[in-house]
Formats: sequence, structure tokens, C-alpha cells
Amino acid sequence: MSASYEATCWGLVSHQILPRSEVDVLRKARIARLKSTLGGKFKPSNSWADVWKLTLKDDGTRLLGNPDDLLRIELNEDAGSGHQWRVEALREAGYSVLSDESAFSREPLVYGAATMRTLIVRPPESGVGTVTMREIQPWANEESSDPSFSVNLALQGPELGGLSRADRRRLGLNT
Amino acid sequence: MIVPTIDLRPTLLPVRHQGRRPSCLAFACSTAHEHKICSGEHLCVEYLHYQAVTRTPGRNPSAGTTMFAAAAALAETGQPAEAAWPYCALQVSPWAPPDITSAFYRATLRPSRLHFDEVVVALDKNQPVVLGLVITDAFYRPDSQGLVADRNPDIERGGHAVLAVGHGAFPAGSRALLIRNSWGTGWGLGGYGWLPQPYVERQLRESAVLGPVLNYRTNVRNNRIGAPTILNRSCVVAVGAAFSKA
Repeated sequence: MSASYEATCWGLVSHQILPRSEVDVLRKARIARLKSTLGGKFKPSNSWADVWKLTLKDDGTRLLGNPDDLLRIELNEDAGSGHQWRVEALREAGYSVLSDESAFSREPLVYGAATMRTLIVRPPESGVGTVTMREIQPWANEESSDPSFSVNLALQGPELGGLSRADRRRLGLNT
Repeated sequence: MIVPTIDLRPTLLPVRHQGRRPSCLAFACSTAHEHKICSGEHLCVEYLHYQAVTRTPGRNPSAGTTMFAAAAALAETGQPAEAAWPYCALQVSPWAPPDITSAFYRATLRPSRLHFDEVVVALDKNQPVVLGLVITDAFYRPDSQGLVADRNPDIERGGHAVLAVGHGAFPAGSRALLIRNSWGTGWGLGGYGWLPQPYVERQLRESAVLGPVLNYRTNVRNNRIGAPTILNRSCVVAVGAAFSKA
């Protein structure tokens, strides 16, 4: 279930979540520009595709989107204590890591500080499945107490004509 | 295989593990301090980290410390022995030092930015050097010899402090620094690793060497601080021994 940006703006007004003046400012935003900013150097391959920004707050979330969507994953990382998110889990699941950067204070340089790791990834061709990353010390075994981040993707786009995907699955047909 | 020219490892206490806390700089400074005064026991990382955090902008115990904050903490309040406030691998809240009546050790830490050759000269004089690095992906995966690969480019991941405790050379002649990390004995060679000279020259941002040692006793609760006295190394060992008997 999803809604357009414009519809979401009007929904915020009609449910009195935001005042009209603030929503008018939001409505002036150019969607293509927002997507472009989120993806950094990388843009979705067509104007219908989205860039999903995911943080630890989205752990376990299920995404319904389009096959050409990109993901921007922002995760705090305890880099100064030797911990890193195991990004290999994404590659093993068929994701393409387009960009991988860490942001931290350089002036002054603060030793041991947590950093913000930002990944821009293209989901696997199938666009479905769950992937889980853990924040580990790369030389040590994974522990159950290590933080984890999971995302469940269903980037198959809108339903086409004929039987729905759910019906096709129920009947054992290829989706 | 790197052949060590200077190797201070035999003079140091066992490698420790900072857990998930941003206390690497306090560990590096404490080890340098322990070596300087031949403490024979670990000095209190928890207390030094606490005092450094209070001197770092933002005073956030989860956000690390600056080299200048650690230097100020070591000079102004110093640190007692580990037993006064044992290190906790998890950040507790609220976080404040207990009443401490045991001896405190102070020292001057001189932040600068030494070149590789200057670090080597300090090590030749039996002086460990605190290294403030911006570490890259390679740092997290030293090989079986403890060698951090010199990959360029490599993605920079954040600020991290370690202690240079030796230097050596590859058979072909290129040089490397022996460092002591605070990520437990599972990292590198029992917690130690080798940084090739190009890696050090590219990723080193700050460095610091311990200067003169000061020593005094204090009662933190009543804020009674005795007049500090500059002591030479043998005096410090003697005073430390006297305090431990008291």
C-alpha cells in the first residue's frame, strides 16, 4: 500500500497533522530532485522508480516498490571499537553496492566516535527476499548480541493484468 | 615476515578490550602511562576516559574524545590504579567516578603530528607514541602476521587511537610500526599489529608522547588535591610502591 507524494501532503492537512502553510512548502519540493539527492551520484533508471532511505528505525520493515528502485541505507557504526556492518551479506543476497561511505567528525578528529555508514545499493533482479546484516568485529565470530538490521523487499511494481501475484502463488504458478 | 628492531611488548601489561565503548584513546594513553611509570598494574582507563569526555566538546560518553582533551585530563586530574574504578565494557548511566582515595598519577602528554621517522626516534628512546589515526577498511582485517594491508585507495571509517610500541622492517627493507590496539587479543597478533610506513604517513593525523610525570594523592570526594611534584622515573616507582603498602 502506498500513496503519492502529493496525496500524502494533502492527507497530512486533512488529518490536521501539519498546518496548511507547512504543507504548501512541502508541496513545492521537486520529487525528482529529492530522489536524486538521496541517491547521491546514482539515480534511479527511470522517473517512476524511487530511492528508499532506510535507517535502524526501519529494521524489519517490508518494502513494496518498483523493480528499479534504489536503497539508501544509513546505519550508525561503532567504527572506533572495531565494529563494522557485514555488508557482504548484501552482496551474497545479490545486491549491488554502488556506494559505501562513512561520515565522521574530522575537525576536531574525535577518537572512537560512532560514525554514520551510508550505502547506496541496487536490489537483486528478483526484487524479493529478506536480507539481514549484523554489526560485528570482522575477525571475531558473530554473537547473538550483535546488532542486526533486516529488510524485507517486494520490489515487483504494480500488479499486471490477469491473476494477482497472491493468486499465482497460491496456485503454484510462477510470479 | 617483519623483523622487529624495537619491540616494547615484553615491557607492557596484557592487551585489553574496550568493548563497544569509544575509549580507544584512554586505553592508548593509559598503556603509555603504565610504561612510563613502570606501574606493574593497569591504570584506571575508566577514570581517564571520564575526565577526557568531560573536556571534549559535547561531553557525550558515547561520542569519543579528542587528543587535547585526553592530554588535559592526564595533566590536570591524572588517573589512579585500575582497582579504584574498574573498566566496564558497557557504558553505564548515570556515569560518575566513585570516591577514590588511592594514589593518582599525572603526566604531561604532548600532542603533535610526528613524521614516521620521528615516531621511530621516540621508540628508539624507549618512548611509546600515541597515534591518532583515521582508519580504513584494511585496518579491520590484518593478516595472520598482524600486518594491515597498504591499500590505496581504501575507504576511511573513522578516528581511532592506538599505541606505537615498536618498529621493524620487511626483508626488502620497507619499514613498519608495531602497534598495540585495544580491541582484545583476537585482533591481529594477540592484539598487536604492523602498520606499513605508507599507511602511517597517509592515515596519521595526530600523535603524542608522554612528557614529565607528576604524582600526588587526592581525595576526590573532598576535592583535596595535594601539591603536585615532578618526579623522575625511579621516584615514581618508589612512591607508587609506598602507596600500595599504605
